[in-house]
Amino acid sequence: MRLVLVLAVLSVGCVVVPQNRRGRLADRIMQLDEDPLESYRRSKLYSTREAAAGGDGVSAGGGCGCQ
Amino acid sequence: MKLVVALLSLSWMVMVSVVAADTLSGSGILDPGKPFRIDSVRLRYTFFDQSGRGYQSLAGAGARGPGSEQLSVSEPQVEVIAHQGSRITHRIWAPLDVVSAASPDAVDAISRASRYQEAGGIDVASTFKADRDNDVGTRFAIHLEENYRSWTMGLAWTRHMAEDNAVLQASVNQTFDWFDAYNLGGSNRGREARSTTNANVAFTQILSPTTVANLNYGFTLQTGELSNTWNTVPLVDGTHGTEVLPHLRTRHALVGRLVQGLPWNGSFKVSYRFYIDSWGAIGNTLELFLYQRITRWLYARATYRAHFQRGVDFYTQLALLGNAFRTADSDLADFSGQTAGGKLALELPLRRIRVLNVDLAYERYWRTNDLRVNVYSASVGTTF
Repeated sequence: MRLVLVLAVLSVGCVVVPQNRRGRLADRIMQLDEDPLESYRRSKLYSTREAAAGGDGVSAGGGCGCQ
Repeated sequence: MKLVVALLSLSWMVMVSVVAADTLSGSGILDPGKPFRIDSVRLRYTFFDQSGRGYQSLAGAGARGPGSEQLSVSEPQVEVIAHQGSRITHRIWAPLDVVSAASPDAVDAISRASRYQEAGGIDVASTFKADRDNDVGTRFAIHLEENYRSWTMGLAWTRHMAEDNAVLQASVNQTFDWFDAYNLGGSNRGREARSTTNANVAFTQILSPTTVANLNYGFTLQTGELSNTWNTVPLVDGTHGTEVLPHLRTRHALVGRLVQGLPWNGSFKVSYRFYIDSWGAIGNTLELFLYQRITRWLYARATYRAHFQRGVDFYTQLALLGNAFRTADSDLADFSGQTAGGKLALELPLRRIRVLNVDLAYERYWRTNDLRVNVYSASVGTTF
């Protein structure tokens, strides 16, 4: 875990892609989170049906209280 | 019945949109002459159709279960994103859930919460651009159900580095829940409370003009009554008892994601997630997305997800009378689950509004311990 964090911090600035070459990244199909409403309905499906869901940017618990 | 629920949901969405538009208009957000502007409005409707059997349910069950987990959920959502001046962005989001048979086994002498639930909430997140490299954000949310109240507040910080090639994000959320608790006989045993504290750190790095990587760690601490209080557990003496869960749960989740553009106007996303908690649950989840642009304004997506879960230490299908903790909830058991689906999305450039977004999606989720869910979803939105 610590190694991953250290590598992540060290990687800052290792790759600098100039703004004029980032056009492709603006495409919706290149987004990490394509649609927040769709992400919510997916996380709702899993966090209310799987003990090992939630906790990664989405508050675990709330809603139906079935976890 | 499904049609009525769909119509009710639709009317609710329209009502919220009108109220939101009216409120924003009153504050000047809809007036282009003022420094307020709506960036986008989006509506999504999702219908979950679930079937299967679980030991926490008595519906149609024999003496020792399992009972039916049949239910459907109708879920409309509306989202408005608006700018206030050049430095403040607001996201106003209102989800609604209409659940049939949330837990059909429950003995609802007082409440009907386990048979039919309407849950709604509103979530307002605001981001302030403090300077070129730093954003700070706040979040306030309320969630209401028949027998349940929830309040969430959060703080977030984002640091943009290396000409925006790297982004570090940190957030903290606190949720308080209050709800009615019931004995197996259906009598109300008063109010219970639950606290959820959630902290997240995320790091995103552009690796090339067509590659982005993201790492996210989340920690969640839950205390209080963590059961819904109406799940049942088959006991060795042939009777049923209530679910008993520890009043403390710590949860850790680590997620790595990668987006890679493909030369034929498509892209590929892969995500791996590891989860572990203090109740003994361990999860490994792999998710794959394949996108293909068919035209400039139309794309298709295929999705596959595999989830492998080790259940909590105290899961049982037949509990001893002296067990300190016990649950027969099939969601907390050992199982593997898979999801497969597809989506078709339209992004139509129009004259008056910049883009009209419409999409249709279907997914099927199935598990090794007898649960299946069909998910139908549709969305319409505009970007101004």
